Amino acid sequence: MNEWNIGLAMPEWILAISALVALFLDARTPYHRKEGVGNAVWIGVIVATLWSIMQGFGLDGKEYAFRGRYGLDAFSVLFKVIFGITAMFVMAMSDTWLKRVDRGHGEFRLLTIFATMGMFFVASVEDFATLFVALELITVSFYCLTAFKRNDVRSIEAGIKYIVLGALASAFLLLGIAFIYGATGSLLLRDLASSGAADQIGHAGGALLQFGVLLTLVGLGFKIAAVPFQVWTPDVYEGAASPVTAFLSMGSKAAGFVLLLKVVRACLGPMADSGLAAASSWGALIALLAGLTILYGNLGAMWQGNLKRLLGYSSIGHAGYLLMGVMAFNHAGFTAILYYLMAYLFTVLGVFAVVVLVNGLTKSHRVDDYAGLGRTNPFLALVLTCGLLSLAGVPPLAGFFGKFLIFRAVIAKGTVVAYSLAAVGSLGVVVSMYYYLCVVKRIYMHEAPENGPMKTISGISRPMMAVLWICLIGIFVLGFFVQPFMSLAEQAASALLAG
Amino acid sequence: MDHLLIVAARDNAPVDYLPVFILLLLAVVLSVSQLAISWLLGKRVETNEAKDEPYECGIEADGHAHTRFSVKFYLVAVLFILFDIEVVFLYPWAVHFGGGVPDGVVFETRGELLGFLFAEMAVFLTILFLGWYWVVKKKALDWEEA
Amino acid sequence: MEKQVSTVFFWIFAALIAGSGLIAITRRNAVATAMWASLCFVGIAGEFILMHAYFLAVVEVLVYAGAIMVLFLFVIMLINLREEDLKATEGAQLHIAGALFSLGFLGALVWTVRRAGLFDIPLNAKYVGAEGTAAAAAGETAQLAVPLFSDYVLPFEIVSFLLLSAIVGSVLITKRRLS
Repeated sequence: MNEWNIGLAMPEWILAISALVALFLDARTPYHRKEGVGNAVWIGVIVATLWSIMQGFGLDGKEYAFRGRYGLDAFSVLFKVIFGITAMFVMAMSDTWLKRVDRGHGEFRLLTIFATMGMFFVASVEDFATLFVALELITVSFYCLTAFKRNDVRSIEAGIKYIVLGALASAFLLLGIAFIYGATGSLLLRDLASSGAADQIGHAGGALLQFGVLLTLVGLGFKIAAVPFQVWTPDVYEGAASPVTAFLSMGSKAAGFVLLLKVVRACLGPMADSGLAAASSWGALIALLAGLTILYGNLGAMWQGNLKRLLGYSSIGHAGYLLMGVMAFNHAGFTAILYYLMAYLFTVLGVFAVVVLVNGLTKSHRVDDYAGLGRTNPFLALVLTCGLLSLAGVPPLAGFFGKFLIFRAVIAKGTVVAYSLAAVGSLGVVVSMYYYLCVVKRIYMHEAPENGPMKTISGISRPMMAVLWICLIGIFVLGFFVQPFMSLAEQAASALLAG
Repeated sequence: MDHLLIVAARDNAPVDYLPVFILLLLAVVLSVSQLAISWLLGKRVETNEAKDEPYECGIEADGHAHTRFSVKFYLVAVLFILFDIEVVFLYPWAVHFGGGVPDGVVFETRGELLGFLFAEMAVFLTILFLGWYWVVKKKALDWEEA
Repeated sequence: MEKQVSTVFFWIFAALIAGSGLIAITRRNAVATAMWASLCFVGIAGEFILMHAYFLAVVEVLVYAGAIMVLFLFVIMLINLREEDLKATEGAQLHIAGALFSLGFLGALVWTVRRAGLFDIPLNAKYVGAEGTAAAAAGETAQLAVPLFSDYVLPFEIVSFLLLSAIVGSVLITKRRLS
């Protein structure tokens, strides 16, 4: 554990070097010739992802680098692959989207790879200092990406809302870290887990630690858009460029959950059965947050006429379901979260890929303007429909299985709180069915207006086509062939709980 | 609370605060004296509404004296802060490098420690130097360009 | 004797922080707010000095009271709000909600600190965490430098990318023409 072992972080170094190469190329090339920057970023993300997969095969338990400040286990490898795939999909979307903008092509790609790098580091976080810095690397890149369209008032508004609330959340997170450090005398997550400090979280007497954990959860709750820290979500989702929204809804949320799971794991004590899990009040608190998040997200989405706002509210709802899995505090719950996120990856990115393409044609995100998509673009309509149905949790699509696992883990707890949370969750599912199906109805049952902009979209780039197909296939594969992905999620959850 | 290791402060005699006192005193004396001198020596002029106008006679002033600043000032300020933060890291590094720290904490020999310290700061500065190169190439510090 | 001196200074700086902070958030003029806030930072720097954290005190003045406050003033002058623009944002409910939230947070903070027994620790005590002990004898700045440049070299290097990201982002958003 006291080795430097710097080579273990090779995926991050690959990303770092490709980011620096891209930066250098961006400085040297004139404004219309940013292919080199794009290539550097693409190569970096692909090689880093492949390297992570390779590391996953040769992994033996948990390995450390930087004298125990960087860890690699099945859990981190799984998330690095998820982040890598997310980044590739987002880059395919942004390559398409950037053709419609005439500035900042290089900068957009640079910020994308900086955020990706932060996500890779987040997956290997072992102490609170790295946690904060890596999370800020993601968030700062997203502040700038959100405000990317500097001539668009909505984009700037979204950027300001995101940065002001994000800075407040970071302040809470830092204060929480300070309290935890004050209580345990260490920044290492495993010291929190093993020192017996975690036992105090559930009991009186651990006041410093309790308050620290609470504030840390507030800070992370902002990143995952859980109620009551969700106010920014619809505005930011609507105002940001569609590829950025896609990146936010998958990458940023997953990064928040990685850290949430790591902190919650550390708070469960050495055997993962004390601390938060032992105190019913913490379970009830997280259950309350999860329930409110589900209700807020799904009820709010019902009234939305703008598809991106709708997806923003739906993203809040999904954060609620994922929090349900956290509330279980056990292997089944964490496995369910990981499976849910894998399913969410293909589902939500497929939906956003269609949104990017349709927006290029209609210049609109109104749900009404999707009328006639089924007639004019049957393939896009199919991907969008499958994505929305999977988000709603219709069997046998990927999203259904994620929800099934979450509900099973919660109900298995057998407490009154767990049952009521499951009831609230089912209510949310029913409500979400309504607004997702409204969009589907618009796509197939309504005709496009005579002289409207809706017509067949041609010239879809090859990477974009690949994204659409992979997402479509992924939605079905994760619904039909559950076992291999389930075992991946189980391995990762075991690695997380082993500490 | 047993894991909290609290060490009492080093013995600080009141005399240790003497420089601070002198500095504070100097600051107060300086600012008060300047106000006092101008009040004492300055010519007392009666003021009225007409005297307070920018032009005592002529066209009445219209609009606001504050004008909106160009955003390029802001860019320079932001870049200044970012590189300022970079430089702040150099100070504890220099203290460490200069030998303010006992050996054998992390590394066996002093040579290893110095090599490591040098390498990590070189990486840090190279990355930010590339950033600076990018800024210059983008003409972000070019005053003529908006 | 020396204990009393630092205790007196502690309370002076504490009053400075709380007072200037309160005045800062109640000013209507944004420039006045910024000025009072910078006084607040000076108070914080004073507390750091009492804790023998000279480096942090210098950083507090150099970065916060110096650089970041300048940035705030630039923003205020860039936006150039007039009195009549401010009227639109007035809302009593929002103020009351904000005040209630702040008071609640203060209450939780005081309760936690009291409960943890931190009020019993002498004001001029110095906190030395498990990681700082080895370097405790070597001066305060070195005490920070040793963990920062050995065990925490990874976050330190990530900071360079964090700054890089901020550089790219600020140029992207601010510059009209990107060459």
